Amino acid sequence: MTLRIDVHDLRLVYGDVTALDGLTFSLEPNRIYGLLGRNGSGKTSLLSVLAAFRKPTAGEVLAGGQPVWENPAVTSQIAFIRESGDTVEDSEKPKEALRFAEYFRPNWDKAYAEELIERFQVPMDTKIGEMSRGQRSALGIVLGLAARAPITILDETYLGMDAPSRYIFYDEILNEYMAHPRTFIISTHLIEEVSRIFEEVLIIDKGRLLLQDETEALLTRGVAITGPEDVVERHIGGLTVIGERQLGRTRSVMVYGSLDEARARQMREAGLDLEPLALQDLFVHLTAPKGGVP
Amino acid sequence: MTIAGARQRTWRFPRLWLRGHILFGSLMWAGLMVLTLVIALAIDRFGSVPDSIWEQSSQVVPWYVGGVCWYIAYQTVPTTLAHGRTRRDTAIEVTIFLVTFAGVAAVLVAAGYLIEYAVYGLAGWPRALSGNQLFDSYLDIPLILLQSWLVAVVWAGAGAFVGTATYRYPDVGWLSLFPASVLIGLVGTFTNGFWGPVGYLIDRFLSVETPSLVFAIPTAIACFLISLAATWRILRDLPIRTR
Repeated sequence: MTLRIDVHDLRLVYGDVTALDGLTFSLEPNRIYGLLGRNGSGKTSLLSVLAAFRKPTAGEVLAGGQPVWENPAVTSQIAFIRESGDTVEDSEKPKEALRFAEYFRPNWDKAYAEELIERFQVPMDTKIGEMSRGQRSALGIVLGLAARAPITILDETYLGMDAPSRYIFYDEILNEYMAHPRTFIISTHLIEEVSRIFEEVLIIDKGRLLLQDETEALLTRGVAITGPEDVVERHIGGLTVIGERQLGRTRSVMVYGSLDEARARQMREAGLDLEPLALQDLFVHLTAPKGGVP
Repeated sequence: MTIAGARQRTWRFPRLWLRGHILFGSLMWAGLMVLTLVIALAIDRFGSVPDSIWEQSSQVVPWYVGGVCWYIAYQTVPTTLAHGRTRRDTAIEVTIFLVTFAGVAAVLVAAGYLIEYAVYGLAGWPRALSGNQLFDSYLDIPLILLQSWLVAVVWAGAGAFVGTATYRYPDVGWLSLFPASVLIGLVGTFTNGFWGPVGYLIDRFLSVETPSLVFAIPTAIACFLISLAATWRILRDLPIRTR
């Protein structure tokens, strides 16, 4: 089953705070999406509404053409795992949490869950409330991946996991995606680490959609120009510089906006190195207080 | 691709919840039963065993039922919703759980009376009840079952209501204890004769006989339905908050 997601003019208000402010976008099925945003930008609120964890104040969320809210045909096809561990009870052991998931999840793959438990070394005899943050994160990932839901949403799920475990997690997502194509929406702050697996990126800021684009296209929106200080200085006139680093006489300047071919050739001939800007640098620029797409 | 829109039953009998809680509850009941008989033996050693001790000790059963149903609403319901279930289906499953779990509690209370009746008979102790309940005989099993279920189901509903309220409103949810106390006070008054301030007010201002089967049944059903309605009012758009 594949489900396209359509969000129309979505608003979510808590008291005086507008968490989501008129979001409209669509997500084609069977892709890996990265959802980026600063703290408090509305990422978790958006994902909570997508998964029917929370009712929107206004607007609508459709999956497969049907409303998500209180629709069992849709909600059963969405697995939303937050770092906070909503799908487990602290007094339980992982065995009970897996049995609970097996009972409720229509596409649950028990063998795969056991395989993941082994890979992430989740202790089966420890109460969940007594597990370390990393172990709880790993259990959440097991529950999210083994549910094999057509829409799998992971919100900072890996927090607390050490680097080797996180890399196992990234590899596992890719393996799963290849073996069982489905829509992944991954919210993260570890942009540099995870960005390699994103096919498309959404950036939200203050509850509004700032940008939605293919990752490859996004990376062409900025350039890092590196070379001798004086040569760099001569070539960046008129460009939007969003950051720079200096080591000795070598200077690296981050520029937002693509360069035309003639100017890029001119820079290379002058001995400058041109590289795509890292997604994280673009993100920082786009979400800076005075940011926005120039 | 879209999802087929055919309407079909999507809620399920809550066997997973019931299995775990009935098993654990039965163990608790067995412990309470043993404790009750040990107390009777201890009293016999130093004096004469009075009226039924189970009649007193089984008063903890409604508290236990209320506690379990609080847990179901506070902890298990949000976890269930997080696994892709809807609030409507979950509410139906919770209702089935409350009614069934109260029924099992009633059976265990009645079994306790039968066990006590048998042990007292073997020991030659007097087999007398206080007479302050809807039943006045150990062998009036249907009435014991009915009263125990009426009381337990209202405690179950009240527990679920308080559980949902305290989950949704962490700061002020405890205020739900007041209306919940009124509900369990009402059913207690018409089954056990006296139940706190509510029982006092009924005795003081209403000229009705308590305990009373005529009042107990409609009161318990009304109290249970009120607790369900209040629970659904909170649950129907319940957000799952981050832990």
